[in-house]
Amino acid sequence: MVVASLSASEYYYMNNGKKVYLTPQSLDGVQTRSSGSELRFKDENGKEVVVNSRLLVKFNSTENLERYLSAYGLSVVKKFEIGGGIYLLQASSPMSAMSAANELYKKPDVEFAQPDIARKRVLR
Amino acid sequence: MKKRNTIFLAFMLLFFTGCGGGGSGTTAYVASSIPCTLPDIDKNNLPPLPAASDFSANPLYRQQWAIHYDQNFYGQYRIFDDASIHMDGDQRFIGRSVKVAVIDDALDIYHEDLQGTIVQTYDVSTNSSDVLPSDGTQNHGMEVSGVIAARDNSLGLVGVAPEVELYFIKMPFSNTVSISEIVEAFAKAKEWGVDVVNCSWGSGDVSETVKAAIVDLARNGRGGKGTVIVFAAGNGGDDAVGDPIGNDESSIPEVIAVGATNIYNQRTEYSNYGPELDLMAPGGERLGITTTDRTGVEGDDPGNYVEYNSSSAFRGTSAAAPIVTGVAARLLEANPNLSRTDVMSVLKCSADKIDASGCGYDQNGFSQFCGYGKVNVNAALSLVR
Repeated sequence: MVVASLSASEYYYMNNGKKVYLTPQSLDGVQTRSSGSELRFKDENGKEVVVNSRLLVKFNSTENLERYLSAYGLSVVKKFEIGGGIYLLQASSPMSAMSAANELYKKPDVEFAQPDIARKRVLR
Repeated sequence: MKKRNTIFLAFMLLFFTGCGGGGSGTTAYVASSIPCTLPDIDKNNLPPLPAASDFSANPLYRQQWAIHYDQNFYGQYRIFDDASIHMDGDQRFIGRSVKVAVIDDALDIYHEDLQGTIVQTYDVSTNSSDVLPSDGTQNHGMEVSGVIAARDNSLGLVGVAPEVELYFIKMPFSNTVSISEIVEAFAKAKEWGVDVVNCSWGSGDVSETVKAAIVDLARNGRGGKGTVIVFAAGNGGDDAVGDPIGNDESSIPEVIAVGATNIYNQRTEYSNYGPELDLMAPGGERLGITTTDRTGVEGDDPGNYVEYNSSSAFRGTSAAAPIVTGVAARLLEANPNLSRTDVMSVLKCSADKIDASGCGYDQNGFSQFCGYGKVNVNAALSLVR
């Protein structure tokens, strides 16, 4: 299994082909590597972002799905029948979810992969 | 038979100066013709013309300035004569059998003005059908739903499309909302086969994943005709002054981004703007939009309604978006053949070019501050039958 890890300067996720950098709300590096259910960051606009242990992936082809699940220690939670089929995958920790998403984003058979980030959505 | 129409709508462009509205200020009307190209509209096998409804028995109807011109009410509050969406006249198409989904915080399913309209409900957090408010802050979904779907039942107000079938999807706006919860909401709307989706919310930072879900529903929903998805454009920041829309859900080209107008038929100061903006509708500023409230003392106000002059009155692009959603439902009843792109084109082509000096429309009839103008129900309906 590939060991998923990120250094403190590499807290980010991919959106529309660009890295979105995150700042840990706790500077405790041990905490951000823990297997707690969620971690809190601030995005580049200072907005709070919560990272849990799941990620969302759209595959161009699912031919390598099982191989990816094994390589990153993931399991399928469900497949949403929208957007051409979006998989919700479970990782072992928030950092593993973010790292796996970033690695999968680079794969040619993956259209996009993102941690299942939660943030405040504003009623208008 | 389909045919391509290029219409030249003569718009009464209003130049309004001074405060007070309702004829008290200095006004001048300048007629202008702006070309607008409509797609082919399939007018084959349309349903027969239904009998017209009369909403006057609903006791709060007179104060629904956004959708109804009441001479006394307009005069009392010096509301500009053209401030409504011009829904008066022929109330034949009122959303019958059109499936409208509202994605919002909660719904009081026992409200007297929504009885008979709610078909299905779903909570993305609990995966249950329980969408009742779970804390005292969750009144927004009630307010949005009433604007669209309040029944013509002589009890309270009347929605823009009071005969729609309402589908409600609850999201946890009191806390953070995850990407997967939003994707699930749109997947549920797709599963239910809804025709129109109202989203009076946004993130200001839409993710690639959410965008993929929304675009899929917009393009492929309704059996390939496309689901009409309406988003509130947003109300600026803490300073209550409108901001650029930016990378928001409402910026997705396949959705309708709605800004807000006031009783003076002008863009409200808080309404977000930009090249992504599509349409305007009344959202209220000094006067709010009368709508349904949680039943009894649990809501924003005592009683079952939150009225236009309440300190808690419903205002914002959240109030403007469901007005456009209701109009879209009316169009789809009038002509079920319409595709999502047809509806968007018709609404834009038939919109009133309000406040020409303040909005600054270009040669294509577009303004970054007012989109293609304020939605006009009767003008839109005239293009689809």
